[in-house]
Amino acid sequence: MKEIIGPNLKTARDLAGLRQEVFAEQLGISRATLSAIENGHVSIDSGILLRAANLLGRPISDFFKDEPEAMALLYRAAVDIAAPSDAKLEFEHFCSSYRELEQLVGVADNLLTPPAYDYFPHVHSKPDHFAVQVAAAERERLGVGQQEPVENIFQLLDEQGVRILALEMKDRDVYGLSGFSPQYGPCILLNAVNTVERRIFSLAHEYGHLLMHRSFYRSKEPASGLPKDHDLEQMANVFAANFLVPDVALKIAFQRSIGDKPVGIEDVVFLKRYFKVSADMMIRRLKDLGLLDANSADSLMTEVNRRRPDPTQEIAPLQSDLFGEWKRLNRFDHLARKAALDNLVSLGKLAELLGLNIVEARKRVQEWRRDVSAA
Amino acid sequence: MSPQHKLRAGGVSLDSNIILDLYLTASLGLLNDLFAERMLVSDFVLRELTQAAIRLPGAETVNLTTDEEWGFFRETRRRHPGLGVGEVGAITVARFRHATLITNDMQARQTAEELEIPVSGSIGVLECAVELAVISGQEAINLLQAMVREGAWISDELLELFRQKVLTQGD
Repeated sequence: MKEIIGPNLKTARDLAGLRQEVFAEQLGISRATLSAIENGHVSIDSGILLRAANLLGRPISDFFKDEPEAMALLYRAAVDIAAPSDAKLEFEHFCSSYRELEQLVGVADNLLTPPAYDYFPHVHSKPDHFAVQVAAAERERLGVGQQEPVENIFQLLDEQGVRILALEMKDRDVYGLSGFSPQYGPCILLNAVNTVERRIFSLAHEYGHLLMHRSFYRSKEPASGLPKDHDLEQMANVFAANFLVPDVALKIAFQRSIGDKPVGIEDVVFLKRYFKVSADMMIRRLKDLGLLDANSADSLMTEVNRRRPDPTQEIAPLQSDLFGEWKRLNRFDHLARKAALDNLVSLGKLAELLGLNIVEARKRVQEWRRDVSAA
Repeated sequence: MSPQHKLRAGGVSLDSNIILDLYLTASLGLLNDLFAERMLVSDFVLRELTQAAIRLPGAETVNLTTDEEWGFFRETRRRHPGLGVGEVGAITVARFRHATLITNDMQARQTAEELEIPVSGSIGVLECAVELAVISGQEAINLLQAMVREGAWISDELLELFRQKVLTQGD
């Protein structure tokens, strides 16, 4: 066990950016002892290990992982993301718990990982065109075609085995973050503080990265300090726009409901709700497709901004609770319920997996039992 | 003369589940009444309790230190992935301190039996309390029913068997 705990402890300390002597002092042991522990030469006292877990903000189970390298969640190396470190840790814990639940319930690897549509900068000379093609191909693969809006993207991707976690992060400019590992597959973190329209776009954007830029997921840290790669970000935006609002579907909806009359704010509201996107994005798509000239697009955007209660809110919010529907019926929760109600996990294990304390975990199980009894 | 209850002597290693049952029914004091000086709690269990703001005075905290203890801990976790760190800690403490594991968790109980570690649960604790006249049979029944209301998973059949047993014991 010391050969496992030691290196895991060192990795966690390195990721936290703590020098060995500083960390040893915080733990109340000598540097030589910490060095011997990290090198797997001596067993650690479990009390010290718990103190280390507290200091590093990691669940204790992190230190018992046999193959941290194979399981590590990888991020794109060139991104401009500053997700708080506690959110990143929670995200990684969620992805790991998801995998464990799949294994405990016996459904691990029952879902195929979504395919990679690898983008090679030196081969694909038109990145935007490539992103449009991938959006169309992926819609076909998922059986949603080109003529209808996606009913609920949270549900759709969840059913494909994409691990989606929504966390409240104070900085609204952190829209989302994605990670990938061969063990976990695609994983997406969304900022739950943002509007549902923003979350929908961010989910599609990150999904685009995971489909097109999988070979770029090589870093254990999301922020590598490299400059933001505009091409990749632009491609993910184009993917999201075309995945959520395909050209064909928008032209059909436009023809059917607007025709030759000038586009008004009511049309924008109708279309944004129909496609479940933001008003800004709807105006941009209408302009991209030549259904709206530049001047009309500008004046509509001005009108949208004037009507917006504040910059963080959306005009004419979606009327259906897509996010709530998905939260009520998502795969992770189902696996956790099944594991608990079929006695596949202990209370302590459930608490570990869900990141709850034991009282909260007990209450959760009680709710599930009541729900099943009432069904 | 009927034999003494097995929990009347020797160390006991408690897991969070059982402590939670007693905490949620405001009867944690029962543990000290019954097991003073012989109550063992793995530091992994203690951490779970602390995270839930539950205090358990009077228990000896036991850390894992030796290669042998860690080896056993690792092997138990590997063979029983449905158990949490706290339950495996409690089992390890029971094994190395030759104590009885007290847990209501089905997985933990099965694991202990497989490892030939003596095991008991809330019902055993209450039976012992009645035998020692710490509480009456009726109080024990009320307490067990309260535990069920607070989420303890005890079947109606087991409840009924317990009711019959402690009421007879009280006669």
